[in-house]
Amino acid sequence: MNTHSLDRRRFGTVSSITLGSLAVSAFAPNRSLQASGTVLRPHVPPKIRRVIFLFQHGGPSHVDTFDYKPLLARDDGKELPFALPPNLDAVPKLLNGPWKFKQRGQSGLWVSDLLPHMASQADSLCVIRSMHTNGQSHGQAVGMVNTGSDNLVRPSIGAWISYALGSDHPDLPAHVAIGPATAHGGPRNYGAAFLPAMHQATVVGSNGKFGDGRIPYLQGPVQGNMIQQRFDLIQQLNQNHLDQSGPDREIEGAIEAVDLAARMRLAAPEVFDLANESAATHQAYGITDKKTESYGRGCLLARRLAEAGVRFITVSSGQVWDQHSRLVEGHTKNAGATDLPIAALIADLKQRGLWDDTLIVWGGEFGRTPVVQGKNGRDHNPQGFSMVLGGGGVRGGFSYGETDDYGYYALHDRVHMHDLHATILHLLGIDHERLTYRYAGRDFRLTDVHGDVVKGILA
Amino acid sequence: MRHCCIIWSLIAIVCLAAASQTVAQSPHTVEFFENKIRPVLVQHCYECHAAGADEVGGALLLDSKQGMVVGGDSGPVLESGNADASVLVAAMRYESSEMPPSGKLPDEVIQDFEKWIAAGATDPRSSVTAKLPMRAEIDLDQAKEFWAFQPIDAQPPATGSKSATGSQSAAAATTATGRIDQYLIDAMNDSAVVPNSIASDTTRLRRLAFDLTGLPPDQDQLADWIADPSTAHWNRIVDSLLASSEFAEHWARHWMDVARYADSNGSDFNATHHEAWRYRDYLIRSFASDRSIDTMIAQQIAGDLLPAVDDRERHDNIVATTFLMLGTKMLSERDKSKLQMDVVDEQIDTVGRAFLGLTLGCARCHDHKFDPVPTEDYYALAGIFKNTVTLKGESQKYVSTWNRTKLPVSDEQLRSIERYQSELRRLEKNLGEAETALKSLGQSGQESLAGVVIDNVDAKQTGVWKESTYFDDFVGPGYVHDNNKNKGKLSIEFATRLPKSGIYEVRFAYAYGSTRDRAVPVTVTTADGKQRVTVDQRTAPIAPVWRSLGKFRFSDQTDAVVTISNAGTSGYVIADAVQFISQEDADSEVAGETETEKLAKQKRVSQQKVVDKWKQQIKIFKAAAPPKLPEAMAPADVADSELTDSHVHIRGEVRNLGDVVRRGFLQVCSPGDARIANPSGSGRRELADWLTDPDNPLVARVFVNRVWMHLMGQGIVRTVDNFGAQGERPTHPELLDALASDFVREGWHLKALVRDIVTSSAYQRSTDYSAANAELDPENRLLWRAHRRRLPAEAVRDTMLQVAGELDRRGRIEQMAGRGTLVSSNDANSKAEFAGVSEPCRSVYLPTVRSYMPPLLTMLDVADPDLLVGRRPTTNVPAQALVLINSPDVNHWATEASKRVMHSATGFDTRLHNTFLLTLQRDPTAVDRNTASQFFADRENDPAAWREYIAGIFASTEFRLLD
Repeated sequence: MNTHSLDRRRFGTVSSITLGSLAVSAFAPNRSLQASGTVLRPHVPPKIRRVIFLFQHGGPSHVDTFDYKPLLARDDGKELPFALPPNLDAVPKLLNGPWKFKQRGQSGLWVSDLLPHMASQADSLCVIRSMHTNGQSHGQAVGMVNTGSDNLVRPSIGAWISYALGSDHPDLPAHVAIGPATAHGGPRNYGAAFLPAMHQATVVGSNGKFGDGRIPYLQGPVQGNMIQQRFDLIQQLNQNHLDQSGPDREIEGAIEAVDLAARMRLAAPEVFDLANESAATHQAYGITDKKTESYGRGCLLARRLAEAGVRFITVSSGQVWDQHSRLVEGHTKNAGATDLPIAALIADLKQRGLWDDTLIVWGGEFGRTPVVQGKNGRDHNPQGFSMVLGGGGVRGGFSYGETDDYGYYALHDRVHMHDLHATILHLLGIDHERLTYRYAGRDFRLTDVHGDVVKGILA
Repeated sequence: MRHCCIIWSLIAIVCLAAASQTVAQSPHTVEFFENKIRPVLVQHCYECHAAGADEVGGALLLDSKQGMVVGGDSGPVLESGNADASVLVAAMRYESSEMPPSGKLPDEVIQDFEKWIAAGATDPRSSVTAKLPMRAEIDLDQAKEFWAFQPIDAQPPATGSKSATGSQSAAAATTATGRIDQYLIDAMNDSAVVPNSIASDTTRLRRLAFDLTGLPPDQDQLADWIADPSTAHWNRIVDSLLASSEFAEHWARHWMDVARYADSNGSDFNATHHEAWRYRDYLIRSFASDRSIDTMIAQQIAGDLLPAVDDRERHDNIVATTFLMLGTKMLSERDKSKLQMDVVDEQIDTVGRAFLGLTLGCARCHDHKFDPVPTEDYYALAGIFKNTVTLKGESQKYVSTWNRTKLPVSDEQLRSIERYQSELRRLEKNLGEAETALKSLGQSGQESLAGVVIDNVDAKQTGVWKESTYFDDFVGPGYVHDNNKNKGKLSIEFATRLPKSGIYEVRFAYAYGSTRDRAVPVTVTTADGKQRVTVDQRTAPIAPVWRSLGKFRFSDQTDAVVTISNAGTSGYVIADAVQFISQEDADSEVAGETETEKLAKQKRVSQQKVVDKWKQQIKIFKAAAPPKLPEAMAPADVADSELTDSHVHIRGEVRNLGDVVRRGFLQVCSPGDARIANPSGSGRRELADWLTDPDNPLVARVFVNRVWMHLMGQGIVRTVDNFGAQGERPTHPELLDALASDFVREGWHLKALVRDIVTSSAYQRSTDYSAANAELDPENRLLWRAHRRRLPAEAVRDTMLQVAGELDRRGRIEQMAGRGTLVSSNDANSKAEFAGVSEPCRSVYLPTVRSYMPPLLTMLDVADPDLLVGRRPTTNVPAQALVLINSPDVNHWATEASKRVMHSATGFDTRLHNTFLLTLQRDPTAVDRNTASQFFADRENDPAAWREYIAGIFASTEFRLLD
């Protein structure tokens, strides 16, 4: 039997919707004892309780945001002095972006003018400048960042975390995706694959749009007192069935699920309703400005969910960062839509005392080439790019790793996407090599057979 | 930590550089090794490749000479004297694997290693290396002792020797059905568990109908059965259900789960599988006609290579191979050799689990850790699939697409296509000639742009209109549309000051189409005030682009304005250009125009009419085109000249090649070396023969076990896709072998197998709980009772449709017709809608679009089409309850059903009775009546109360479970 860890799983909420044994009866023979959906004693001391992934889908340019390359400015227009990776449409001519880099805050972390609001939080940011990943195309790289696999169907990182830790709230799911893309794998990127279906994300909005901000099917055509009566009737019918059948896990499980649905129906709207926030908060997140409204709503909802106990929240930008052409125009627009809400989220988490046990992760599926594509764009660059972390357990005002002089290849202290995943799990108290699930005859992991915790960024 | 390493390694490099200046050692010396090589190994390699490492990477030790010579998974890491051929150098250069992973070492360091190896790789370190925990070689002889690899051996049951429990006579045990019961009873007698009695008549029939057809029994059948619940009647009902088309549909769906059936690729590039439906219909046809399962297996593996007596058989042979094509693929992967190996891997994994119940995918990188499948066997199979063309060509740059095979067609069909094409060529030639003639008349046929033309780029937009150039017949650089959104908020104003007052014909250009609105409101501001007209944009303008809005009077003192709005529209609204043609121009001579010019203009106008006529004819002709030549999504063998065996790929890496392995199968369940002596092509035909060989120990067992699971709730081997060491052992091995050997001997017929099982007592037992039995056998492994089971998602939905009186039992074909290459585009705004659950056909005919599965079905645990699903998961989550309660479709079906019930009778009791017959196929009990009367209270005649009551039943456990 597993040892429950009381610090992370209040026993008062034992009937939480994530209660694995009820939810996944048919999986019982397949379940690994190490992580059965009921919470384990942490493998390592946890530093954080939850993760907010600010997914910049399409791949923002690292050399225009967080990876300062003075030589790129100097050699703008010149030939790249080393070889391009294969299968690329970029021409080997260096392109410098128009955004000025400055050292920010006390730490002197380099951030460009493209992201002035995030720059104002530089002392809280931990930039990994030596990321690399698999996949020259979006599909593979998006799969890598979200599921740790560039080719095969695997559970998403949020599903793994939901599976490992469950929800911190009795009536809310552990895993929520806000505005996830329908393309590049779509649901696979927040799906459960072979993990029990309950671990797939509850979805709000799509393709970077906040939509109505509601959980699908939480409300239906019938409402009010009548729907409450229907819930009661269903439970009476189920109870009749159970009385007639004798003890039965299937029926008992369904009764539990209907009960939880009824509670979720009552609890979730309160958490999801942004109207509960002050006008000042709406303003701070940019919700009052059309440009930032959608991502601002996503970020504010993320904070409310984090506060309520959701473990893994993705706020997706939509696939907007893919500037094969018109880099300046596109990146300016995308930064304009996301930068302010993200900085507001950081400030808000701090103000509410959530910063120290929340991890935020900012980044795309890859970066962009320092060389030009077409006239004024940049191609995909999984060979080297930046991701930005912040919050509990990681060093602030800190950069880690290096790319080459122009930002093409990750060179020193390289961090593969598997390493980043291992590190995120580590911060949550999970050893990525011990979080396994038995499927199709073998134990699967988020990090497959790879991944090292990036100790150099840990606080 | 890492940071320190960097600093240390920089210092080390600096020191080394300094050292190289002072002591110019020769690379064959020990000093060179000590100064240049050992420090680097210690610094960068020992963490993972030394005896003390937590986990030795790639089974490779670099802390001794012997370790380097013996090597790891990739073999020896250095070839003394040949740096370029040494794995170590390739890895340091980041050419093969990338070592060290934290960053490429400086070129000088790599050059040192090159020099050192070239000079003989002098290594003074002790040659004694710590012993690696080497994995034992797979012992195939010993492995063959495992039950699943043993020949199928049918031993008769002990024929009730211990007691007569279960009232089976010895005589009954000679029939297949009798034997099934006897094996089960024998096992129960051994453990003192007492089997339940037979379930109630209504419960049994409901179970049987759902298991065989995925639908409830019909009302007449139920009434007849209750009147005569005899064994003979049961058998007759079994036969009639087996003969129904619903049986074939339901069982095809079971196999579609295993075949990871989908109508789109999913993944990164959700390409449409336009032709996958043919495979679904092949399955339905095959199960309907009880085609033997060995034939079906052979067709699915190698149908394209099999002989056929006629076109119909040839057709099915080809369509069946779609099985190999259906896996989800990373089509945009730019490294095509990696993509090929991923596709091959998916095929091996699917064939392994679907037919053999083995997880062969595990042997891609190393010998299978649990099952006796050496990597060589994996690559023997990989050779077969590498010689099979699955992917072919690209649908756009870097994005692969798959092979397509033309299907046989009748001569008549061929002729009609030939006729069509030759007629089309003739029409196009005429058009070409007419256009050339028009060009030669000058002004390049732009006569239709006479008068005053205002293009959309010069119009004033209110709200955001979307630009498009999708259809190529437009004026100016493109046209705009309202994106079918923001109704009432968008308008576009084409305004101009006309040169002189008078009557003008106003013409409007738009790209018409079926998605357009039928009554687009247009306001024309004339000298006589505003005039309103509507335009049906589903119909074509007069050729080529213009439609007349009528003739109006305009003044040269005020603007002539045409305003197109999307207010009140329900389809796309298009605006391209507006034209004003002076009627005086048209009738009278334009000042200054010479007679010659006038003549030329007339000629141009009449020639334009000829061009338009041909265009129109071609359009009409194309609309009546005969159906395209049918093709299937099917593989083919590579050309004979390209046939080749596969290398082992070390650790599964695409470019890390080991020995070549001859094509073949699994040694553990084959006599001899399991290699194909002389492959006739790819080897798929031989693979099909091997799989369907009566002596293959796995295939028949795996298949009958799947059927047993569908009917009994659990497999005899509960892990239906895994018969290996990590799978469960059979609860009743003798029974499994008896079923498998009967099945093979009697011709691999599904219907006979199903009949044998459902006519057994075991199948018909009640699900009643017994504390005494549960104490002895809590998981019901002995089958003392029937397992209470979930209905599949499709059956739940189809039954709700049926109860609502809306189920259309006709099939559907070509459900993806009209979709483009992608089911939806890969941009942020893409939205795709598919025939959803409201389409009243059986669920098996709904599109199975990866990434767009209907929530109602996914919440009810429909098979994830990304994966091979032998046994569907059964979840109980709040989202499931919520979708059943709040889905508009479910509420609609409940509403329709409540109307039927209210029409069916006037009295409450009869209505309640009818409700139960419709939804649960039984009479209400006293408890049910009590619950109902409490619920209805004084609302017995309230339609909303009936809707709520039926919606409650739809979400209840009894509706969704088989007792």
